[in-house]
Amino acid sequence: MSAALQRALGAAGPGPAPAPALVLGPARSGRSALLFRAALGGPRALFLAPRALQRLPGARRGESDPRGLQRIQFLYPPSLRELLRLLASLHQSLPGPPALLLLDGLEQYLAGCPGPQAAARLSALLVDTASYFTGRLGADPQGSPTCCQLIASMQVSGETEVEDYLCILQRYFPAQCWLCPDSAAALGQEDCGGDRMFRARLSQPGAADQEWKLGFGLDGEMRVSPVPWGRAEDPGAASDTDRAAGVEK
Amino acid sequence: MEATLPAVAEELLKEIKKAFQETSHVPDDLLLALKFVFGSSAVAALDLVDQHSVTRIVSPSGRAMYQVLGSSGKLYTCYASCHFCTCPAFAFSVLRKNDSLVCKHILAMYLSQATGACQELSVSDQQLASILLAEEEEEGPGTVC
Repeated sequence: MSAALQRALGAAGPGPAPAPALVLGPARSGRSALLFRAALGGPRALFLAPRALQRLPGARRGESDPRGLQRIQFLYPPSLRELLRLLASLHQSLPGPPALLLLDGLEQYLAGCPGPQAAARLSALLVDTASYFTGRLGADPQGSPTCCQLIASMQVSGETEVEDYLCILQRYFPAQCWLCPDSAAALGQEDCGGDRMFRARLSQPGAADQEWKLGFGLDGEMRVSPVPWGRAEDPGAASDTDRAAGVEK
Repeated sequence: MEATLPAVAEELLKEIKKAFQETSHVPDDLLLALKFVFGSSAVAALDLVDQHSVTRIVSPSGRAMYQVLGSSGKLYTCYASCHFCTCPAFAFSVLRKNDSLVCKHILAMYLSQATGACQELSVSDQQLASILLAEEEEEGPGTVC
């Protein structure tokens, strides 16, 4: 699964070889914040979104890390057509290969897809672009081959047509990180100090699921903590909140 | 980050490559296994390989992809790193109905790689970008570059 995403969530140690990952969740559940945190944590990153970010997601208002930001290149293709053109020509236009390819707002680009094959093409082109960058990256300082990791975020709310493309997306993004409101916090069973609380569950082939808690303070900052052993929510016993958030397991 | 097939399919392609490297042909038992694993696409894919229908296209940047000349004379684009083909069968049998693992063009690409039957074509970075975005092509060879 995506090592960069795991790093963003605070997991330590090497995981299985990184697979393309999809971060899914309802509105304002921290998708952009997670992608941004992954970008800040790694070496060179390319961050794509349909619109310019108004502020740094998940960061305390007014705070920024200049060195971290310098490692991120932001590009904003406004439409599906522009995104496809950009991806297809990145081998010409980018001077050096990034180690992270991040796409925020995938649902907005999918809304421009006329059918399943177009959704597959977009996903495949993302994977192919990351794969090309992997070929261009050398070994890391320890001598292990470096991968360009691909992470995309998609808003799901259980209502829109683009969510019919989920099974197609899952072909190209074997790893998925589902975000949903934390039911224990919502029911007042835990003291979360006024933060909005979410759970992030990472599923990837070849590894056990992992879970984290995400808290968003009024200052906008995202705080991540691992879920204590034995307290992970059983996916089979999805709460009403999970269902409303469109989580499917 | 290579495209992933089920383990049995991966193993089979490796065995085909090995057998071809040692004997310059693919033994009958492996051909039978191919038909078992990939179904009706297998025979059609083998025909495409025999006709040298698969071309690997590469540009100075090092980025590469494949084009396959279909039996109807149409040119289809396949990506190198994951399963995608511009043909209607990919959209229908693979994506929509989930009947097949891959279409015959993708299988022909794998088999051509295993048997060294790919043609090679160098194009400019700009041309590669266009081909990556190409929809199904009406024209056959001679109009690629």
